[in-house]
Amino acid sequence: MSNYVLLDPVKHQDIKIKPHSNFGFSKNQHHASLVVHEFGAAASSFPVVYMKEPTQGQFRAVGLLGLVAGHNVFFTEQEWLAVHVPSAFLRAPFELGPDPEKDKTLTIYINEQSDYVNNSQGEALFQNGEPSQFLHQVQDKMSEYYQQEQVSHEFTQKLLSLSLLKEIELVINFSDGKKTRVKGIYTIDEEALRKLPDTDIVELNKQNYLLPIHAMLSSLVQVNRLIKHHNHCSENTILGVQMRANAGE
Amino acid sequence: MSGVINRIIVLGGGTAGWITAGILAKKHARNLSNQGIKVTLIESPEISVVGVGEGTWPTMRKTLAQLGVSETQFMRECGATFKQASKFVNWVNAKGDVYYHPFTEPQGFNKVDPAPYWQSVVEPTCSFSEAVSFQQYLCEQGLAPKTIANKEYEVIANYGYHLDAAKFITLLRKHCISELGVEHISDTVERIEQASCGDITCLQTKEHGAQLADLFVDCSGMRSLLLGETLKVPFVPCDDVFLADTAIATQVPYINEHDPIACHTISTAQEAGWIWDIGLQERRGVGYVYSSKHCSEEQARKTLANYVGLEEVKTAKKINFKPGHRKIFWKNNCVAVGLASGFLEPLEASALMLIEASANYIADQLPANKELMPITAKRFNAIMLKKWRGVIDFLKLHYALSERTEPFWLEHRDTQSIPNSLQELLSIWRYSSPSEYDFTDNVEAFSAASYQYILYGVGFKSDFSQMEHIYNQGELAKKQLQMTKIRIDQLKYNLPTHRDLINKVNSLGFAKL
Repeated sequence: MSNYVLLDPVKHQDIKIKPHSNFGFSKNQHHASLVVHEFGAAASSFPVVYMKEPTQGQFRAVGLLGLVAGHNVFFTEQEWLAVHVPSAFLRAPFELGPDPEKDKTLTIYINEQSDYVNNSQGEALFQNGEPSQFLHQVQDKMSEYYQQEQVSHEFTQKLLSLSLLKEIELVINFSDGKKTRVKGIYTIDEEALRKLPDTDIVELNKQNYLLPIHAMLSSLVQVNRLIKHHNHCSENTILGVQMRANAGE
Repeated sequence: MSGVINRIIVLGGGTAGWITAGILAKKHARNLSNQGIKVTLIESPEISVVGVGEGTWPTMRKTLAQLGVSETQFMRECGATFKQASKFVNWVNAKGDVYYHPFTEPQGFNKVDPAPYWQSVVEPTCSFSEAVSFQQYLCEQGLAPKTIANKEYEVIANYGYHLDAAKFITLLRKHCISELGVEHISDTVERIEQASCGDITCLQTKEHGAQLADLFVDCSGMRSLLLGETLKVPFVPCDDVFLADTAIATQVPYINEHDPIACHTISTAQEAGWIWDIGLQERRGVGYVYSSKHCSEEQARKTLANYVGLEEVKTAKKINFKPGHRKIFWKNNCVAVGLASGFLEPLEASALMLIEASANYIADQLPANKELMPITAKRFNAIMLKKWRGVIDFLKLHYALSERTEPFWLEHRDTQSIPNSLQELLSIWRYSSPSEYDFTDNVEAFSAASYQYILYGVGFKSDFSQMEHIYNQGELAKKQLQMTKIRIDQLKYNLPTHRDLINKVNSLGFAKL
């Protein structure tokens, strides 16, 4: 459950935030949003792809955490199975949201329903009505995240303007004989990348965009890791996944 | 090499002219090695443009995509909205009756014909279109046919557009000139020169001298300057089939910027014709198509004012027309597209569809040399004539089954006025449903599904009992009707309202992939 509210020194003066453990809130989350800065590290753990955010239709970079909707294969009761933890998870239970007092300014919101939020364990947010050292760290992290979001957005726009994204379809074969098609996943169009004029490549390199592009490409093999983890914890195992260039409708 | 087509001149800068020039240039325009054909559009700066129709078929998606126009740009610049259906109000008995002609075929239409079965499965109050297609529900709820997360031209529910014809022409002109390499000459044609065989050799213009070409496309509008006036191809009127000859059009602003936009054309029958109501982004386009024999202009204005809820309509524009088409459409080296080829009342938005179909045919079947042109012309004429007759039959069907009793409607049902081809179909459909066997040609304008929507929409009853032994697919048909309901349940939570999607197209746009 989520209920993000504006962080309020009065209302939230007594709450404490528990430390991260196994990211239990992500149990039913089969993808997590990523910033471009973590593509390289994320690619060591799971496929890094693009999806469209449904209400605005905007492209958003995500790590795929499972092949079945609502099932995160890296979550276990004991531990987080992946090497990388999406930075979005490390922001929990905080998020950025619009500042009601200042136009076009973002400020910190807290998910009051989060398991991290309690009155006894962990770090306090306020001491004597003043932000605690911990809250200062959170603020720094959020402002860094905001910068990274901006860079990620520019990166995404660059991929789109150079037509470097293509849609792929995953066809998943299950042991019970069923077949699922997963559409709406976008990755780097390798051929388009190879055909880019030299000047564009040089520019991508100068902007430090080549690493995340290649990280996305190499991360696709991590679909096999998703299958492996899935089959460890599910009875209806995945026999195989075909990846196809999407032929339109 | 003689006989090769080097240049095509399109005469006329309306919708027909620019669509045809664009499609021709896209396929044939000179490439870097100078192979291909030069496409020129000549339009007179003195002649004003008639914006034909503001409704399109789903075919327009393909046409725009093919021309390389971005859907987002098109919708923004043309004030365009989505169209999923035509809704017919009061066409049967004037007591508030309603039926739909949605752009989506009945669920599972390629597996089982719903016509013999649907009535035994659904509630007696449920209409045919409501039972067999989820699209009527979307229209009634004001839902869009897709979401902002779909890519350009991708569909969830099949759709065409409503558009501002004048803005559409501006967009097409800009795109054809700057992106597709169409040469644009703004000049008046003063004289048309012909060879002894009748072929048009050149158009003498006021300021750009003689413009020579191998093929001329007549998009000069109702005047039909090249095909009609110059090549003397007669006009075949069909005012014996259709009584309406006048239209008055007006624009109605939305009261509130959040007002819902209808995702379908609404056609409401009146005592001497029918009123169209088309929702664009900024305004509604509303007009009354009527028979001047049955209704004075004053009465018509009153009817229109009454429909839009005003005392009187001041800005109404009046258009006189004669329904019919040229006897042939391609003669010698001249082919007519758009109003130059004919006009029918815009009941099913067939005008733009016929333009698209003609332009595609000319571009795809362009003869490799001039010697082949008579054969191409003959084939084109046969196909287009078939399309026109199909449209005539289909439009007439809307009138032929009405139960309205005003003189206009009674005259429209006079057997003398119903084409034999339609009478034959109606005889057959007394005992069976419209099927692909009735429309065997793939150039047919309207499909069996469309005929079913109208036929059963107006409450026509085919008597299937005489051949009862062949109707044994009840279970399969029932399954399709259930699937329609499931589809509605899936879509109603996922699709935004039409207005909401239009706002997002303007603020965010569709992605290209």
